[in-house]
Amino acid sequence: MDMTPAIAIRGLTKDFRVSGSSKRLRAVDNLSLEIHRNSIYGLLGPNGSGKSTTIKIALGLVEPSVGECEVLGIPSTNPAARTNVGYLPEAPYFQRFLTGRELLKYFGCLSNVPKEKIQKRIEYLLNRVGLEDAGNRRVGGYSKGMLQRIGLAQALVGNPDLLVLDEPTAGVDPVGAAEIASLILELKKEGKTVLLCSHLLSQVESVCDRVAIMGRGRLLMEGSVDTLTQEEGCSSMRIDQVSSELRGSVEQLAKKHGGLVSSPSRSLEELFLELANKKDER
Amino acid sequence: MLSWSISRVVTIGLNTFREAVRMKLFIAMTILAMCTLASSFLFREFNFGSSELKFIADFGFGGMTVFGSALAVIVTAQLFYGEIEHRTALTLLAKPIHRSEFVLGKFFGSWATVTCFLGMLSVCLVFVLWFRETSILEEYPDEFEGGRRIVQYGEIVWFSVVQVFRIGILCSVVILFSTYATSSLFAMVMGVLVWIVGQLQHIAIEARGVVDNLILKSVYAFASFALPNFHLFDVGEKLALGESLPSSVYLKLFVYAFLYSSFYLAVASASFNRREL
Amino acid sequence: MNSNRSIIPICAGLALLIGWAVAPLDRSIAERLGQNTEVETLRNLDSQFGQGLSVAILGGYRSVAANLVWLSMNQNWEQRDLAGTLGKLVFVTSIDPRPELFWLNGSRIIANDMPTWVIGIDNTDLHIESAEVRAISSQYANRALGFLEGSRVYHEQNPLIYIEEAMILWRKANDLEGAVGRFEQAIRAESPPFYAYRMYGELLVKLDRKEKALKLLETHYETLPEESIEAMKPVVADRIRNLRRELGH
Repeated sequence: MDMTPAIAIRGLTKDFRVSGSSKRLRAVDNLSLEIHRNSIYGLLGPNGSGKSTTIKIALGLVEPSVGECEVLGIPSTNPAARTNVGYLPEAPYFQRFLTGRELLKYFGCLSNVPKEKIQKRIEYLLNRVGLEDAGNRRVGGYSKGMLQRIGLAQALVGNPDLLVLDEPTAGVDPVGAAEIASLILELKKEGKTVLLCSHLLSQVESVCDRVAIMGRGRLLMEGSVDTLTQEEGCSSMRIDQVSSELRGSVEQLAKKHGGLVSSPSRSLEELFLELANKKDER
Repeated sequence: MLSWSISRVVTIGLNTFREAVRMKLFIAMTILAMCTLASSFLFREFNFGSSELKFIADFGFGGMTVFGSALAVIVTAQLFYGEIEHRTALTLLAKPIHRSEFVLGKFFGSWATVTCFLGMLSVCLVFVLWFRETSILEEYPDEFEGGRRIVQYGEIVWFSVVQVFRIGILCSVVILFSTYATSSLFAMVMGVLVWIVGQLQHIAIEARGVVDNLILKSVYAFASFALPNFHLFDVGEKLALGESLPSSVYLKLFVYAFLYSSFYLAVASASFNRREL
Repeated sequence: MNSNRSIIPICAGLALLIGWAVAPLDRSIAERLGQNTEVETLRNLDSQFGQGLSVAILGGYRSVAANLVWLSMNQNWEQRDLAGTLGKLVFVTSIDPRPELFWLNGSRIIANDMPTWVIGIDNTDLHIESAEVRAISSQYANRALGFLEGSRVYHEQNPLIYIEEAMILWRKANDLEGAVGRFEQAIRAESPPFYAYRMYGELLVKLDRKEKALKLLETHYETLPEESIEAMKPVVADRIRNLRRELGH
């Protein structure tokens, strides 16, 4: 297996010129992170934290001001870096005049899917995202949830190694969101790497191996979900088949050694809000 | 390094063409242009005989030039800038494609759209002329030497081909402005401006030699050199008068259009490469 | 706007460069299409009708604009509106002086129709003897000739214009010598129609220059194609025979 990271970002800074003035706005500030292959990586942060800019830089849509970004070992400014990348943008806008099938064919051609395989691939993907009956309808008439699904299908059309999903469950009902989450987990099983941007923190928590939390363009915290959700001086363990006797004995033992027993861990959401509040206090 | 691919250009071009022909605007413009052509039937009221045919030809040629150019400006701006405005370019450019492939694909798609429009109009014009000529031939046989038809239908095809060259330049100009613009209106306004100035360019050429004011002279010199002379493509005035042009003129017009379009597209690609989406 | 503004001067510079490079091509096409004389026409037009008009009639709709004015002139003509018709005739030929149709039909309207509007009867030929009618007819004939004078820029060697002038001089102005001169110019112009010779011949007969008429028709007869109906070869042969008989050849 190739050991080069799926995405490697080193000292990345991006400044935008504010139109009509000489001022510059820093969207990403000295960001460094690595996303390993065959993992699900969550990128979190409030609006304006630099997540979207980071993704756009990784996809070659925006050039970095300072630093570098490599995708699958190739600099992101090189179009070749996108050969094995699928992207689902936030609130995806597609060519409304195309039908679902036409859209997938269009993106399939652009993703270098061989002509003889494209039809089969389209049917497979429509089936996989549950749009087999809507494939001949124009995308302009799709609901928000259907747009997300067709967006996922177009991201997958070239069978890429790396998927960049920006808010994949926005506008999708809870059942649909759960389906998308299980699809993401399946993709990992297939050996793919997923970079996930989401506001649904519980979802990120349930699927991601590692997460990075950004604020004002900076990396605030990065690590595995378990590590991040672990409170300092606290530890949680899972014991199956707990009887009331066993529970009483464990509690007694903890008290004996000066420990305090409470609910197992804080959620990622709690951590996120904590970090966001800290940022505001500063 | 990702190699540059003509097949991706064709894919983007075909999709652009598909978008254009599904646009309400395209259908509306086609109907409007055909109505204009049909209105030339009103000449019948005046009983002109064979000279009516020249009037119809003039009308058709005028329609092709004006509607063709207007469509080129509007459709190209919509098709190119529309992708940025509606954020569909984000998904597209996140695929393994070069920005220059996108620029060229959009150009060929828009160009093909207007070419298709011109093709339809010229078929209509040929039909209207043939229909009228046949009835005038019966009504006023004396006006036709030896009973021979006088409309040179081949020249109508040549006229359309020359307009396709003209539209090529105009589409590439609008693409160039679209790569730089922050609204499709800006690209359209600039396109129309270049169209008008280019149409009057021959006046700037002469005015350059006549005026004494140095500033005016420089403005005229800039206009006459920096912008294409669209008036060169107004060959309909010659053709409608029954004159045919040697193939060298068509060849020169093609080279002229090719040079200008290539130049604008090269600059457009460079400009779009730097654009942040 | 795009963040990089330095591209503008570079583009302008490159645009100038390409313009300079294609300038010879531009000139050669414009010359072949006769567009180098158009600026003169437009300048005349602007001086007559004010600035801005030329802008409106440029582009693909120049011919169309002229055609529309011509159509509206027809309404003035139907209403026998003398000033309106005359004004629009001048206007049409100023917008687009190239179609000979405008010149020929225009001059016929001035020379043939307008005198009848002034006199108020439909056939001036019946009253040609009256001095007053003759004066009016001659006045409009001169107007028509003046109108045709304007066609010279585009039709310097057009035989149809000379024939039209000759006919006006002959039939309306009664200037037969003048008509002879115009017919001479017509047959010397490039590819004159066959009827120019026949009509010129008739004028020479009327002037009692039968020898000259015979010589003209004989020379002309040699050049006539067999198969053309317009050439009217048998008619010309008949006329030559009659003239020979009259002259005792």
